[in-house]
Amino acid sequence: MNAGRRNLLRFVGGAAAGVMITPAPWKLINDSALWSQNWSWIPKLPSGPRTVKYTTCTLCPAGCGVEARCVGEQPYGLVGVTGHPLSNGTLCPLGVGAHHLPYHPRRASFPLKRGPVGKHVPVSFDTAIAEISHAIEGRGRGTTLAVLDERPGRTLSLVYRRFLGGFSDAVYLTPPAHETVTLSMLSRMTDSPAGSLGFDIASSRAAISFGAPLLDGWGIPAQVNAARYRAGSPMKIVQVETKQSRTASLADLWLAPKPGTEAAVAMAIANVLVNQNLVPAANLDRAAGAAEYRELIGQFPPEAVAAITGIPPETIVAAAQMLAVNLPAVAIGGGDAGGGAATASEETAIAGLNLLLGAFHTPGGIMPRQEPPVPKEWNEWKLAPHSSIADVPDHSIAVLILGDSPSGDALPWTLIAKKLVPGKGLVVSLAPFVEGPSRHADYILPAAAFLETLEEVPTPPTATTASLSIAAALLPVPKGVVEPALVLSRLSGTEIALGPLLEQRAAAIQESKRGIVTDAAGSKPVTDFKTGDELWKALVAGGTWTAELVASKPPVHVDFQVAAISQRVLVVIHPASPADAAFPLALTPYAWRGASGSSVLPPLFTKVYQESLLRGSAIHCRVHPSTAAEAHVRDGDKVLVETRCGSCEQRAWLDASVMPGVIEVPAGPQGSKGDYSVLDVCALDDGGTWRSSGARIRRMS
Amino acid sequence: MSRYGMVIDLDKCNGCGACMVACAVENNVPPANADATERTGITWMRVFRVNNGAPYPANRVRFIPMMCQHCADTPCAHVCPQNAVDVDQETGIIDQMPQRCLGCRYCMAACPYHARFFNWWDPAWPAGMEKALNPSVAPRMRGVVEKCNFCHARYQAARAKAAGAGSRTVNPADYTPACVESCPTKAIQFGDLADPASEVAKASHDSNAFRLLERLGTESKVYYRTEQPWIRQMSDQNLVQIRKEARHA
Amino acid sequence: MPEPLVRRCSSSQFVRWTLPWFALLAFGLYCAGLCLFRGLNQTNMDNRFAFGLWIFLDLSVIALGAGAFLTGLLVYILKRHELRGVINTAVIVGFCCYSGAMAILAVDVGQPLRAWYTFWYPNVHSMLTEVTFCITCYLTVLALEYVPIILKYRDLKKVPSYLVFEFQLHKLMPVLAGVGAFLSFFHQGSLGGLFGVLRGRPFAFREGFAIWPSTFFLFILSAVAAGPSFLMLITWLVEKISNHKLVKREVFDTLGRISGGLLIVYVLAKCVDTLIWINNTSPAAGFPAHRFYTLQPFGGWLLFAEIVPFGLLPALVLLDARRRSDLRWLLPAATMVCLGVMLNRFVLTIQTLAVPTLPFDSFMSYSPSWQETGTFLAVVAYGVLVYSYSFRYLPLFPQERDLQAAG
Ligand SMILES: Nc1nc2c(c(=O)[nH]1)N[C@H]1C(S)=C(S)[C@@H](COP(=O)(O)OP(=O)(O)OC[C@H]3O[C@@H](n4cnc5c(=O)[nH]c(N)nc54)[C@H](O)[C@@H]3O)O[C@H]1N2
Ligand SMILES: Nc1nc2c(c(=O)[nH]1)N[C@H]1C(S)=C(S)[C@@H](COP(=O)(O)OP(=O)(O)OC[C@H]3O[C@@H](n4cnc5c(=O)[nH]c(N)nc54)[C@H](O)[C@@H]3O)O[C@H]1N2
Ligand code: SF4
Ligand code: SF4
Ligand code: SF4
Ligand code: SF4
Ligand code: SF4
Ligand SMILES: [Mo]
Repeated sequence: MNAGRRNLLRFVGGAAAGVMITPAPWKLINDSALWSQNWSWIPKLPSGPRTVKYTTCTLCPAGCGVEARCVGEQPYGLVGVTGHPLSNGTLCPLGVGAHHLPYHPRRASFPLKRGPVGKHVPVSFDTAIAEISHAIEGRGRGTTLAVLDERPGRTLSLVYRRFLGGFSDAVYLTPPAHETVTLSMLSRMTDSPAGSLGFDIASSRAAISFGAPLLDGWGIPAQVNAARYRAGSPMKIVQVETKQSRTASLADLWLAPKPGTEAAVAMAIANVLVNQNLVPAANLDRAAGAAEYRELIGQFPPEAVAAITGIPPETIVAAAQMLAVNLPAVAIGGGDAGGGAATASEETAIAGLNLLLGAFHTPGGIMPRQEPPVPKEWNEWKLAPHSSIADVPDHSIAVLILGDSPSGDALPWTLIAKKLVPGKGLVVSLAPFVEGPSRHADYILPAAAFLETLEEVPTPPTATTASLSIAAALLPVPKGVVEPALVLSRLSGTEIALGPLLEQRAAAIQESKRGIVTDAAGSKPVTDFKTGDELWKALVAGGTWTAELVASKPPVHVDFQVAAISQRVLVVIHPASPADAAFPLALTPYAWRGASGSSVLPPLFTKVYQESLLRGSAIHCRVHPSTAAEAHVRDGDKVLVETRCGSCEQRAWLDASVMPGVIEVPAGPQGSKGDYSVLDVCALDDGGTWRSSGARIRRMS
Repeated sequence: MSRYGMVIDLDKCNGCGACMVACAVENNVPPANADATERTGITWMRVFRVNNGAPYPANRVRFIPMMCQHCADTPCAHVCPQNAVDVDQETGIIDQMPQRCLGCRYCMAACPYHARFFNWWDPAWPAGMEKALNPSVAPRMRGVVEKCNFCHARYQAARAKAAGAGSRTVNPADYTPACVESCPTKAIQFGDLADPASEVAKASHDSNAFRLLERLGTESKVYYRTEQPWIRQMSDQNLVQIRKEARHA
Repeated sequence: MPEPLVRRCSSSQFVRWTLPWFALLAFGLYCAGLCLFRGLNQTNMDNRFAFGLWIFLDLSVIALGAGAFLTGLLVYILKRHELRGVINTAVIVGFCCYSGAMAILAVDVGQPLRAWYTFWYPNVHSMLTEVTFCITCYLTVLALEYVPIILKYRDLKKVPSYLVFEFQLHKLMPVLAGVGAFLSFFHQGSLGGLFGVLRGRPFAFREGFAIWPSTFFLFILSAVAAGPSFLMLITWLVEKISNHKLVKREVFDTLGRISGGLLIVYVLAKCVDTLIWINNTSPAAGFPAHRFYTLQPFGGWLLFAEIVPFGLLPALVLLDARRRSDLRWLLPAATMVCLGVMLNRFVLTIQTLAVPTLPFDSFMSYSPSWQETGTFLAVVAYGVLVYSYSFRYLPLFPQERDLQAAG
């Protein structure tokens, strides 16, 4: 056979036809399809016996009981514990995804040091301690050492303060309060022995909230829900908030004041309560400044306030009536964390409402709380003073230790940076994630993440009864992780261990014979523990200790700080300066409890802020279509939001739920792409809040 | 023969998103690819933010949790060329068989509820997180479609448990989908619509209960209820103004 | 057999012509590679625009390729011998259109390796199953029709067994034409059915006869109306580019007349269908039809454009013998016909997906990514190249020699 062109062609044709009748091509096709179902990069599923373990969520102070479904030792699903004294079966979305936090992409699991180009590089623990000690010892005169604790109230918080107490000049800092400002204001105004207060919201029949995210994770969510979805008589909600938050949109009555005029709304409601005799006069009569207060609220008839706030008089009357016929009712201030706190005068006006509604020391209102007993010897401890970051002089912190809290920045970095010694301030983070302020740290000595270590869960700050539970360690700790107490031991040269302290605390509780322990499954309350160790074991097994509700009678003396109200409120009536013509819009940031700023979110939260339109992330701003039209902005446009303090890029969402003339921007989360917070461009007003800044919006080409 | 279904109380839902996270946890849906958006992400459960369209401040926002509506007359199953959509006669659950799926996306065009999601990317979890996957649900691969299956793995487990006890009927207490279990406001009721004694069947006959796009004839098994007329109108194109503005030009 | 005496351009000129097309093909293959290996995240399609540019163009290209089966039917079965002049071109254009569409589909599906499951686990109720079966079979028919043309290549003709094969195949042609026409009617129809059966998409959903929605029949009609026009345009373009007269003018006239006749039937049917849809089908599903057209930019003008300027108008021109004989009328009219059928396919794919079904949902827009566009351009380049090589090396136009002799 000659190998000519013709034969070659014939061979090719014949071979092509022939191969089709062999099994080879068909087998190949089948195998390739099987391969498409078994790609090696698709993870293999874990296997092992299924068990159930119990722990407590530490991601926010609500202290929800958690049932962890495990395969082998590994939790793969978290659900609430029905019957849990605080949470009764409820977890919020943070808690539902919390078991993924140890695998967060920005997790730090060994000591890191900021390298020459600003990137964090591994460093040995000893080297880091030596260098930090050196910086502490060598700090200049007039400069301080500080710890910023984002989860105050724990035994570890006391350990921080005790460590700092060993230095003459050290300060203990916590971020600004939100949920508890109304309570601390009330506490200051009464003559009852200075104690803690709590909202007895589970028994309230009505609540008026000034921007507090009542239905969006506020306080102890399970208790709010218990009241809100109470069969037969659900708690009524009056929401006073410019933004149509989740709470506002679901409220029975939503009052949308112009930004910054909330105090006037409170005063007008007080005016109606008094003038229409909706509440017993005796409620007010026990206040020291009652007469002045009466006179002041006389200046706020609903008609006059309508002009200031934009709220029709009949709506204000309706709000007052709704509260008055649904007693016990309570007024809640504080605002939303990222949206800026309420000012002192606003809180005083809100306190006035509580007074008029008779909410003080009334079940369903605001109740005193007896704090859990503390071991006697702890009272001997020398503790560093508790300071607000605002009170720390600028350029004064030489070494700042960011506490172990995995939550993000409850303070904008710009605010912290201002307090550091310029160019020299050393920042050490004990947080388990390179997120929030940790990103700016010179050293990161990461603590264990949620589920990796035993943690204490103290009383939720809004609670009416003290409680204590333990978050058990369900996962092994990565090797490089450092206990915060060990860091403090090494820096102070004295032995500090948290575990024994927690056991002492349990022993003190047992000695006091107060309260009950509800077991892990939320079913069996136990009261009599023979030893402290027994109680401790019950807590570690997932039990929750709760103190009894304190019986109380209303305080006799209330000191009304009327001057504070009039000052602020009169400013609202007669604005000192006309609106800024160059920045005619109002920029109003808002937070999502526990998820704003650049705090650490479980990885699956992308479902709610990136893969759906349910919650905006830091890259979105919402504006009313009319506001957008005036600025020639269309839905989805890239825009520049400018204030006197700076500017940031956003993507515009046209949203009819936004007040015309207002720009709403979430403080977070940032998603994988953002690296800034809108709060950095918000202006602080003289009330100390950043709820509303003059702004403008411009389409970017 | 059961007909599993839901009644979702829109007056209770506060749009917290716990159900969305719980669903992804239960069903091993990976976190978003860095480039994913609300149009390419995978959310078997998706809570829509709806608006009554009224001018401010009469404007009101509410939330509608949406997942596969488990249509009894099943548009997606009718069109799938290779039978990758399973209609379970025993339970009424519409299940998806990702190993069988070609990724042609015809079913996505067919589904009026936008309840189906394509895997535009390879599924990927942050390092170590694969250890925390639900051992009962196989992850899917790039290029196939997936959707809510009423937590089918939980149904299987409940059925196995019943079989172990020598019973053919699943105890309702043993079968609760993840979204139902996680909802902090207990807005979602789940159960057998075919059992007239069940809570869910009774709730589905509430005078304020309705189904979405009822007139399409899909006979969906997810009911909603609300006392707000404007939200009930959201069920029917005839009753509302179509939103004209484009989302993301 | 004598060698064809037709003249072709020089080799270097041919290389210069093909080079840019090869470059485009290479770029397009790169784009397709990205989509295959990195996944469909390379496209701008999403969960709402589950279909995009590719499906729209697939439908268009398959409609335009309908000239192949229609010409086969006319020549071999209805014995319209004057169309023999374009039968080879029709087969090759059809082959390019169909094979190109199949290639794009292979990129478009998420798991191309599982494509054969449709044959293994078919859902016989699915229009897509019908489409897949018919198109696969018809592509085989087209390939079989293409083979004898290839076997006329000089070198191949020297292989005696191939010659025998060619001869046998040739005898098969009427059978193939019949089978092809049958398959084509079905898949053109089921492509229309794809959308017409979507009960969940009231913009596309249509009632019909038996299992077939009206779009089934409308697609057949519009495809057979557009096919001859497209064939005419291609032939005319090849004449211009090659600078040769290839077919007798009567051929254009016949194609135009067929196109016009079928088109007017289509336009009438489409009007009836639209009226039924507006008054019955859509409202019954809970969707007032006029609402669909309040969503700009896809307003009512689109429906008008489809029916009048891109339907009725060219049909009337093509049915007017005097105008038809004038290329200045004939060619624009044929172009309008082709654009009209593309517009129809666009409306059914893109607009169907853009209009919201849920009342609280918003209107969506979509534009293809460069990877999508590039992948499609690869198919265009592939078609041009296959045709160019066929034109250069194979005797496509039986009338060309006579025309050359005459000219
Ligand atoms: N400065 C500041 N205050 C805040 C906040 C903040 O960020 N900064 N955030 C506010 C918010 S949003 C929340 S959720 C809460 C959380 O934090 P805090 O309000 O600071 O916590 P508390 O409710 O005071 O304390 C919780 C529990 O810890 C114990 N505890 C606290 N301090 C001491 C102490 O000095 N000694 C002893 N023995 N026990 C103590 C008590 O048993 C108490 O029940 O705080 C609110 N207050
Ligand atoms: N692990 C853990 N996580 C927690 C908690 C916990 O105890 N432990 N607590 C949870 C609780 S109860 C809460 S309320 C949240 C709080 O935290 P989030 O709800 O996440 O709210 P933030 O965004 O932190 O709200 C405060 C925002 O206000 C900004 N801010 C503060 N001061 C100023 C200022 O002076 N000017 C300007 N312009 N901006 C300022 C900060 O940038 C910060 O983004 O954290 C929650 N997360
Ligand atoms: S409310 Fe707080 S404690 Fe409860 S699950 Fe959510 S983050 Fe955890
Ligand atoms: S909602 Fe969609 S995916 Fe679910 S059964 Fe109906 S058509 Fe199928
Ligand atoms: S994408 Fe998968 S499930 Fe959907 S129609 Fe195609 S093959 Fe069927
Ligand atoms: S039923 Fe299960 S699969 Fe369906 S949305 Fe709920 S959690 Fe997800
Ligand atoms: S978990 Fe419940 S309340 Fe939260 S969004 Fe889902 S359905 Fe609504
Ligand atoms: Mo808080």
